[in-house]
Amino acid sequence: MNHGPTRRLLLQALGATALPLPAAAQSTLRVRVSESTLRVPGIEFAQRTLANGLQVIAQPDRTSATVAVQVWYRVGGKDDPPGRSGFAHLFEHMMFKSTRYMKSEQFDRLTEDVGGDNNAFTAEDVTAYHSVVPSNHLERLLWAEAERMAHLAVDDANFKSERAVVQEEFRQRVLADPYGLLFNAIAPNAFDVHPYKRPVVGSIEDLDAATVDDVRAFHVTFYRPDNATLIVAGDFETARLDEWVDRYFGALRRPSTPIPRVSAQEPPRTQGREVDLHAPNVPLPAVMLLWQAPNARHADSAALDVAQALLGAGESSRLNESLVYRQRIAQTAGFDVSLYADAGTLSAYAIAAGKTAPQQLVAPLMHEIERLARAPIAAAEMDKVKTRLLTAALASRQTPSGRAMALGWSVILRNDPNAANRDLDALQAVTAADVQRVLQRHVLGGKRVTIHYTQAGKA
Amino acid sequence: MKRLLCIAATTVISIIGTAWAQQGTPGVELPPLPGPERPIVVPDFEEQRLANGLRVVVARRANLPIVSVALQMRAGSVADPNAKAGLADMTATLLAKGARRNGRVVNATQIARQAEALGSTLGSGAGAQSTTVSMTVNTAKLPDAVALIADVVRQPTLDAAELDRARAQAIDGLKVTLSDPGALSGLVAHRAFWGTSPYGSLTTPATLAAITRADVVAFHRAHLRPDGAAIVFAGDITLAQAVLVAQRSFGSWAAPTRNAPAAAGTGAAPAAPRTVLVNLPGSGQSGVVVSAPYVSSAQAERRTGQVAQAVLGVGYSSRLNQEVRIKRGLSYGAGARAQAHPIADGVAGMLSASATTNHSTAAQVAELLRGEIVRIASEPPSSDELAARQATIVGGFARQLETTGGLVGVAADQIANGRALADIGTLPAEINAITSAQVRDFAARHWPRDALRTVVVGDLKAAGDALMKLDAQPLVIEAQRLDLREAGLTAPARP
Repeated sequence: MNHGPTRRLLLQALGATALPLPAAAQSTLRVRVSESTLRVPGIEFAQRTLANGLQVIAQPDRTSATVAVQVWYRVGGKDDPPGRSGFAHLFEHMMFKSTRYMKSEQFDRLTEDVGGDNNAFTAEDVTAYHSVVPSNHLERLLWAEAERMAHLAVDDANFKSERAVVQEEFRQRVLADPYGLLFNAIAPNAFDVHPYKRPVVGSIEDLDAATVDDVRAFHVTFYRPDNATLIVAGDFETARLDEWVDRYFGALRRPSTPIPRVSAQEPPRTQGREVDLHAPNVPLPAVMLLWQAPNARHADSAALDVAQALLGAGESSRLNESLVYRQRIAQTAGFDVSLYADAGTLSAYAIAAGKTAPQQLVAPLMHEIERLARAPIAAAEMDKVKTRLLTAALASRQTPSGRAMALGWSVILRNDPNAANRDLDALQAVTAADVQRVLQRHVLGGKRVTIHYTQAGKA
Repeated sequence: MKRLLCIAATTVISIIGTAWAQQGTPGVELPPLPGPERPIVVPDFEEQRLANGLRVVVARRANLPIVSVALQMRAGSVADPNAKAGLADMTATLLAKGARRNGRVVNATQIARQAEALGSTLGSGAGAQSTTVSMTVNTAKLPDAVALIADVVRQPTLDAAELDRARAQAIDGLKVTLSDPGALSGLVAHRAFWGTSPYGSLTTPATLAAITRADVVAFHRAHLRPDGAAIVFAGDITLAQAVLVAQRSFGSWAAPTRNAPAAAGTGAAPAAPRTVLVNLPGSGQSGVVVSAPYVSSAQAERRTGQVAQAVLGVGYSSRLNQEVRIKRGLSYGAGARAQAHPIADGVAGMLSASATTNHSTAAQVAELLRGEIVRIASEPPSSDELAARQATIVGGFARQLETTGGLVGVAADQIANGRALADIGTLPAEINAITSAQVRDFAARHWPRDALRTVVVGDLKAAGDALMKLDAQPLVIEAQRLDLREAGLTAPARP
């Protein structure tokens, strides 16, 4: 159902890959395990690259009778053509339409109709197509993924109808949600130069300007084996998988043209600014603070993830405990770390409680961030957030699709599937001093954009 | 599992035979043929009862060091007085906001820290029939997690200041919900369908304001008790270990001498007009809901209902999504949900078909939703369509079994509905046994056109005159004037 962009998925994925544990931790219930031995079993996988450049990752696990098939393309919102914001996402929807040998929606015949499911998402750096099927249907999915990678055959009627769907998706996410416009304002305020400044979901006007010819050109440009990673996780025999992958993907041609890459560099922000944003239905006003952040490969990323958890994850997080629970000035308060392939952003936000004005939320948000950055952090609190991140990672890795997702994000953001396992160790190693150093550097030492979000006509 | 194999094979043959009549070679022009089916693995659900009546249930899965646990008690919102709707859920919320632990009082902040140090938030909430407190933790943390659940359930402080705080938060949360056209249309449809039935109760700022600490204490004392309750574990744990852990934390939990108050609901008793149009000026979309009667969760017919609901609106390729999204591009998605309650008399369930759409197409979407519900009886599913929807239900069930949280949910549902745990694995066979004729008869009986109710919430001015053609006598009302405590949706006129 949700062939849609999941702007926020990136954050969840980073949180989820955060930490899990090995078989050694399967102690009996009576044994107390000390924090330092809480480990998550690594995801074991094999990888190879076909002659045409397709990266293939195989993660066999035969404990259930399902298999996850995912294709991650290195093309995302940042690659939207000029004047076509939202196009990568609109294109994602078109990948469920007809191909040389498939009818529109045949993917649903191959997945949902036999007890599986399928979906896709578009983010800043990537478009990923993910299915789960009973494992005896694996070969059929490989055939179909290869088919739509190479032979998409869209028509104008399909295109116009699906574009209308995407525009309704925009209305639902951005216009109907009382805070949709606020979250949609993150991209243009967090980035000044890099194409990340355009929201992945785009705009109604730019979507209207898109044509079926744009779809064909985009497919030729970006949907090719040397721009994709195929991930298969779950119930299969590796030898059979290799044979099928060679058969269906091996023959696909690698185009001789280069893949266009975004080369824009986001310059350091030289001054902060205040932005007033209004919407027709804002039940409670809100405030959002934005800072610049490094890209996902930066050495500070693990410490930023721990800082995020300390400030914003769970009821006992600093922001919730202070602004929502103790001071009762906010209905919700949070902190997000969004590190993309080329650059990142940090955001702190609060939705006001009762009669609180949005301006009154800024100082309390900053107070909590500064306190975390400068005052001592208890060891128990560090242990708490690490255990939480680790348990979440463990829970997410129960399913084939969860394991494949962890590998996919590592491929896209870190250029290395092994990062899914290494990052858990890195998170374990983060110290209180690391957290304080990265907050001082990126938040206290950075320039801030402050967005005040209020009802139109009231502010 | 043989049955599933047959279904899958039939689907493939029919796809090749009908949709792609042209010649072709599987693996070239056609998808390759599927391999031999592997059976769905349904774990054993083992059970033992403690002396105080508490059921201990375990679904073992030892491949990862993780356990999900949920304590489920027979204490649901169906017992809430209409004027104090939200009482069961407020009680569940307050459990985690203060309790006696090891002889001293710990406050909300300390409980949140203790829970999260174990690895997850302490989840608590109430549904129509039950209250549940749950966690998912690393195996090594399980005894501490169960001890925490026991303390908050058995010895909560139910502090008045925490009630005020939680109430203020809930009222702010409702402000957000009530300004979202999709969410508000669901609430209005719920009240319009159930009317004065206890199942129709909706939490509003006014009902929250009416809840006192004495109400919460009385609800806790009467309903949160070991008899009728179950603690369900799934993951890296054996029954013997689970019983040991449960006994340690819950063995001394005594059932009150007075029997649990009976809290049965009654069938739908609507009082609002059949079509309700709510004006929410400036809203970004319109929310459209069409509701229809559904069956009791206690009846054998429930499986037919499940399949009929799936044909109509479960999954991407269901009829609603086909007509509203795929063919016409009118919405990001359309689907159907069902609520079913365990009562024998009257209308015990509600089907709701819903979508959000641009204002100008709200009336068209409402007509499409109505038309698709009615069409199930006149055009029952073909064998391909039926097999696909059955596979969607069975496949969703199979995936639910892949996680510890999913396993706990499956067992908890079974317990809440008073069914044997040994019957959990019968779902695929029961679903696959339903015929197209049964689906047709079900729809003919329950979903005639005059049984449907329609709600649209949006900017009525932007939606235009087409909405007025949906009904000769709709209730048209400003969102600000809605009173969701009332079966008729508005406060009675003052003299």
